Amino acid sequence: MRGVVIGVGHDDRADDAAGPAVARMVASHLPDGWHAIEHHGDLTALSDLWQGMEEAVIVDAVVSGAPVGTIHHVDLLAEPPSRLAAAGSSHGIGLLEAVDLARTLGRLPGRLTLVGVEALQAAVGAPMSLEVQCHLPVAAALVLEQALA
Amino acid sequence: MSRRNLIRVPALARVEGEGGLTVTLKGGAVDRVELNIFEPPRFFEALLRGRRFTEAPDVTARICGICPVAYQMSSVHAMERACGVTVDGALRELRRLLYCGEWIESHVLHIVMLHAPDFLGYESGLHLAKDQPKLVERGLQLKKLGNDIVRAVGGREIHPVNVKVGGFYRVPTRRELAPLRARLDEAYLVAEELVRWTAGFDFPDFEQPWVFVALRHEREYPFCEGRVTSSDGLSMDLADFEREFVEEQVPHSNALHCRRKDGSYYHVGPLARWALNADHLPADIRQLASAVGVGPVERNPFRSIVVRALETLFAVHEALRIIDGYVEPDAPSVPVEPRDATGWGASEAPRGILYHRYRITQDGRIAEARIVPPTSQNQATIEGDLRAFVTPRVGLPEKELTWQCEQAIRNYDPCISCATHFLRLELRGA
Repeated sequence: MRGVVIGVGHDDRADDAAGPAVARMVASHLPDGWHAIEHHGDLTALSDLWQGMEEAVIVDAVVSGAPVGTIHHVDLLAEPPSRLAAAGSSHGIGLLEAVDLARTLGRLPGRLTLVGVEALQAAVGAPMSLEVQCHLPVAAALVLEQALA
Repeated sequence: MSRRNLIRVPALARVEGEGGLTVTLKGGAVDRVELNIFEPPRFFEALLRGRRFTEAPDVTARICGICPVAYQMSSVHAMERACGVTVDGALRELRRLLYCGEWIESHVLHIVMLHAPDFLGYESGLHLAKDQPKLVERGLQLKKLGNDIVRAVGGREIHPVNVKVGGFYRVPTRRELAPLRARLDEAYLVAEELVRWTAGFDFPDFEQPWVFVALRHEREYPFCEGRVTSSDGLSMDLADFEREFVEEQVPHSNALHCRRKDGSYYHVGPLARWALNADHLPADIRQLASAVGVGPVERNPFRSIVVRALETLFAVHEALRIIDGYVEPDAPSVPVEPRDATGWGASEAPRGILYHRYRITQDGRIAEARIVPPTSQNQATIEGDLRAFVTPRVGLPEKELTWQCEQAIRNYDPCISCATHFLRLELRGA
């Protein structure tokens, strides 16, 4: 298998649903060798999801202070994690820590990218904000562009 | 206020959820200890009112992403009791298997990534991984097995979707459980390794005269059933829980505190389960505990990490037993018809007793709900520990004392999200 798209987040938590939503949008359009999964849980298991893959694209809601809906495209292998927005859950460890842990344990794929969607809020049961909804296709296009490259 | 009159940790690290700590000193002695929980409450008990009784496991599972099984089990047992139904046989075994998965993943995450770094002088689990990558890798694989057990039985590793009042929507086949079985033998060795590893840590000399409270079953180490039992002689049915244990609001915390009706506080969690139920553990686990110096009762909260490792080993042992003896039930659930009644349920979440009470109506609506999580019950105990712990140590350098206070809180693996019935996602900018 060549690559995996991992949509991280929770469908019932407002803008945190962005990751799974984008994963579902791209799933049937990915080239051979790629697949998409939704990951709702503990990020210590993240590196298990890309084992055996040449590359992985993580899609997740992020908060950096940019306008809501902004799409971030980050090479997680090139960027020092400390400079990036620490997206994650109060449970377990966050996304950047999970990537760092994978790096420490020698479990990184050849290419690892974050497509982040700037979020407004992640309240339980709240709907996705309109700005995030409108920009999901942009995120999806970016994911597909990378997979098809 | 001078620097040495206040120990403040604005945001606790390596705990689940958002909390802080304030210790106020006066004249060189501890004047006040406050575990500040500032995660806002989410009012799940109010949210459940009016919903169908069958929705309780799915709604309450959302209170926590680390221990959703505990919420589901407490809720289904309460609803089944209200409806006069008992789930037994293979379905009961599957529920225990599901719980094994949760204990494994929760305990191992805490032991390896959150708590062990304290004892070994590491800033975080990540720093531990840099020095001991093989051990952390083995721990994470064990944790993954726990997650996979939850997925196999519960349908999903976070907020399982396969649990229902009366049983499950679907039960796994023996063939579906076989891959888990194949990994459990290796997992047993890793779990044993964790026991020996944690037992070798240096522990501060500190003990507390707690009263322990846990479920006690007549023949099993408890997951979902038993009488509420205490180390000072209490043994009562769940229906009497709120007559004995009282929740109260405190100004410095969004989480309610629990005390006994006489005003005293009490301790729930692995040390309580151990003190009240260790005789129900398999002989080889009790022998290992004795070999590594774990006594029948442990009152040093720092040694809770060893008892968690022993419970992880038990969960692996129990998962092996259940899978080896598994016979697929004829039906995935038993019928449950609502009636006008109140039901009580409790299960031993990784952190301690999780109590649910529901009053439901003839047409199956939830009229009233009450949920008391373990971290709420331990809040006053944690503050009491800190008061006793800091008092003889006020002469330590501030940085060292602050670190030790944080470590003292991490002894409890507090689930702050549960305590406020809330999971808040905090995303910080670059």
